[in-house]
Amino acid sequence: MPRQTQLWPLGVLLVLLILFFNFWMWDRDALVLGLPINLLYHMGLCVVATLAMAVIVRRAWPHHLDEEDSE
Amino acid sequence: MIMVVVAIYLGLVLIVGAMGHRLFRATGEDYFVASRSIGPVVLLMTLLGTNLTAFTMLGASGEAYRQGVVVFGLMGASSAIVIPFLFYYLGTKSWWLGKRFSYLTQIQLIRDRYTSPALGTLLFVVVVLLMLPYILIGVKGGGDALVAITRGDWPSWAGSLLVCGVTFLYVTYGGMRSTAWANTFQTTVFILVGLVAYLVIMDHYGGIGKAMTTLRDAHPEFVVFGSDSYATLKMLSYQMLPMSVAAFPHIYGHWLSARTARSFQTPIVFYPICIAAVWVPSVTLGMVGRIDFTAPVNGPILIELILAHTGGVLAGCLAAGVFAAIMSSLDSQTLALGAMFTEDIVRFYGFDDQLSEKQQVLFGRVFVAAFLALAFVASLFTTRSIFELGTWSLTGFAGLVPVFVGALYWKRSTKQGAAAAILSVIGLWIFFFADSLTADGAYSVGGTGLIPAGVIVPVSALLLVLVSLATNPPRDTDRFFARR
Repeated sequence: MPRQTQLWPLGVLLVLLILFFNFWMWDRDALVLGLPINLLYHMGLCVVATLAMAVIVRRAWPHHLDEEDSE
Repeated sequence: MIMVVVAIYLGLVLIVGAMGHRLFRATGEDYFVASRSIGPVVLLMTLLGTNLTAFTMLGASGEAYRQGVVVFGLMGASSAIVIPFLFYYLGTKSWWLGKRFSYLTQIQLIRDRYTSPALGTLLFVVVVLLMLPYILIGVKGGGDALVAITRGDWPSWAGSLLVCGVTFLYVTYGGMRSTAWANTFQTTVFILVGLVAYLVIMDHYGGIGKAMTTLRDAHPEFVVFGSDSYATLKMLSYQMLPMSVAAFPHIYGHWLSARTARSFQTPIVFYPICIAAVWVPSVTLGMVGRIDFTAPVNGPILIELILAHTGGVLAGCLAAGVFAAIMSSLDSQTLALGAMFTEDIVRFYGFDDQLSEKQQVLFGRVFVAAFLALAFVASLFTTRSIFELGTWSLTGFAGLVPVFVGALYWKRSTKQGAAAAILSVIGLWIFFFADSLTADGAYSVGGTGLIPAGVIVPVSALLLVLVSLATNPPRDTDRFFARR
């Protein structure tokens, strides 16, 4: 159980920000599932971000803040 | 029919707001932060509703109409990635300190942490000045929307007055709890209205696939991001804008209203997917507006689409949705300003920290009423577009974020470092804003694509670090970092 706010989620943020720059397809005008491929990619990134935050909340929650709350 | 739907909606908002008042305890803590009692689901919805403004519903679709799909990447996806981390790192810690030291505003945190009343007052002035244009986004958006939806049958001032009047009633009556409950209702309404508008209008074009194919054939530049250096710098620097959320006084107020630290878990996890649910309909509708409407259109493109392709009931629902988006931000903004003027000025300077609970509530209500009145009057004379106003306000707030990060996580940060960071934000903001007044079209630093926030935020952070290291370390900061 973490005693301090963890820093490794910042690594997850960095990965998400790198994935955000999908420059290799910025000029592609393909439509996938009826949507521009860049839009679909960023929608997928929102889903990935949700999953990533679920993992962070589970694995790196700052429990010391909760404990102080219950004191 | 449109105004009937709007009237029914506004009545429902007032009922929900009045329900929040049933638990009202007539204390400053209850009026400004709901006695720190807000649970996870309401916290998610009220944070979402507070962050999403008239800009999201009308401005984003308008920008997508002008720029294409890249708007989702610039503002939607970047928010979905950055903001949950702000909740995780800054929200939970702010809540913990707020509960521990009974803070009701972010200025109290900064004054206490840096042991500098003057620094707190400097930040107060900057935050208030940045908030005013942000509040104007909502008030003016309400007026513009009503004019467009009723085709000029109702004047702009009537829309602004409706927005201000209804917000005034439930915020002054019930404070933060009524605000949070009304926000939850309003956020639900504008998400649903956005989705219904999306389905109805896309059906008119034969589905999203057909609409996008038609758009790509006519305007291929609208379905790509563009990959030149201008686009790259623009994408890079737009990452800075969502950071502004961490410096908003109204978001700080909602953070403090959480029941427990764990109440943040739901907003942290579900925020990205909620952002996509709101932004995708708004952006795609703006894009398909290009198929039928050649630039420039008279009103917001979303409203033009609704009026062109659907009946009066849906137009009324859209008006209700726009009002929902506006009021769910305006209420929190004016309440936060009321808290700041009451706690950070009247209580701190005028009453030597001795202000009764009833007096705090009274001052809070008076200030909320005064700001709404001021915003209404100012909206009558405002001409700049909603998007421009919003971006400049966000730029300033983003520049203040290093000050809060330092206060919460860097023991070595000093009041001199924080002051240098704030002063740099003031100087650079004024410089860039003045420079933008002579620019043609969308402004960027030196025409490179880099938005001003891409300069202001790094400079602010750098000065905080350098000046802090060059000055004496602060004393008595352990209580902000260590456990009891």
